[in-house]
Amino acid sequence: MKRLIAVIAVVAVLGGLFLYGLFRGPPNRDVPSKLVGRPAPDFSLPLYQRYQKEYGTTFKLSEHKGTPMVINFWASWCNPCFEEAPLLQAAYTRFHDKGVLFLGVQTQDRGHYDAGRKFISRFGYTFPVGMDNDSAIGVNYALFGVPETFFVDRQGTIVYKQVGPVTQSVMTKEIEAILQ
Amino acid sequence: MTTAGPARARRAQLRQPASLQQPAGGAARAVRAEAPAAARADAPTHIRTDLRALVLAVVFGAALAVTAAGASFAAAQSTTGGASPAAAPSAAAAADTSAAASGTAGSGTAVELSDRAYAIASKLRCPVCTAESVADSNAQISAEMRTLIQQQLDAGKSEAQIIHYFRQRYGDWILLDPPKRGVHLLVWLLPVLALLGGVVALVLLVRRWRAAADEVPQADPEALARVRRALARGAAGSDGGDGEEHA
Repeated sequence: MKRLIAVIAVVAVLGGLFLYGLFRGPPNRDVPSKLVGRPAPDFSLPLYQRYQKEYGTTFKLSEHKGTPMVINFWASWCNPCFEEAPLLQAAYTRFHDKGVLFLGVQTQDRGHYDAGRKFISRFGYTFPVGMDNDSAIGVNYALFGVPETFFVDRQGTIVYKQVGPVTQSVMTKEIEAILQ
Repeated sequence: MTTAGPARARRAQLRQPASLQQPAGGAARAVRAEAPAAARADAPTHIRTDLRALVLAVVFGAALAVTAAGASFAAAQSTTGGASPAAAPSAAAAADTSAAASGTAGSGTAVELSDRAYAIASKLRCPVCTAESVADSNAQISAEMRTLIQQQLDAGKSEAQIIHYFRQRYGDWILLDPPKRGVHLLVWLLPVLALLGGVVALVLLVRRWRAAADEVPQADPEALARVRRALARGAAGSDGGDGEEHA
């Protein structure tokens, strides 16, 4: 009898694990980034023409060392990018005077310059935006998808990475963190 | 197998009194009634053994299934561990791939992949897909990663260096096969351990079955005495009446 109970217990545990695996729902996508806490990889980003007068034809990250930055990766086909875009522009308007620089990186969107321009015009981005046409910057920043937003402090260290659309509370909290 | 012969001989010996003496009348009927009963007395042991074997087989089968499922779920989990909103975009990205590949703007052009680049890409996980390698995925980021791999190979980098490049950025997550170290070792070892456990259990079961087959059934002394009394009465020429005893 004791043996039967033990066998039933083992089967129940294994069966429970199996059912848990089957029905636990969507997997957790929040993979910790290897880049957080490390220096933001340098890159040169060709900018859209409308920003070239102010920032030059390419935006070189290393030239902005000492400036707290919010680097937002997006694509013209990405619905959540549309959702977060107004918040990004509003945050830039709010924190620009405090010395925070925003940068939009259109990635995983090869050749879709027209769609990019439309996106920028629609949301009236006043911060510089460029095209990562071969997604090399995206891979260098270990993107899992878009949108993703990196918060870089004055020392050039990535202090936080937001996977998915950034929220107002995250934006405020992380900008305050990189301003310190 | 070496003990099977003597064991059978012992069992035959034990049955001998009933079969050889051939008592007549009611006593004979009583004896014939006892013999199958004695045989039936063995049955529960064998049934229990078989049941145990069945349950153990089910347990190890379940263990193997769970291990395999666990491994595949671990793979699925780490495969889809990326940006949550990227699930929908990944489909869009896949749909966009052809358009992007044929795009003329920008510096990127389609790069022909060498077998070596494909082999490396098949070891890396597509960041925006579910359970797909960079080599097999149609997502745009995978196409770009393939190009990057080819470019790095062309630049003279080794496979280890290229994989290291991706691991530095994505961590072990980017590897399609979990690395054979740390907690990941479980994924590799559990199926082997489960298999070994199953083999050991099978060996033990077979040994137990053989031991059970060699075991000489012990007759109940009271029943034996009853049989002997009945046989004695039969041998004494009694014409019986009702020769059966009721204990």
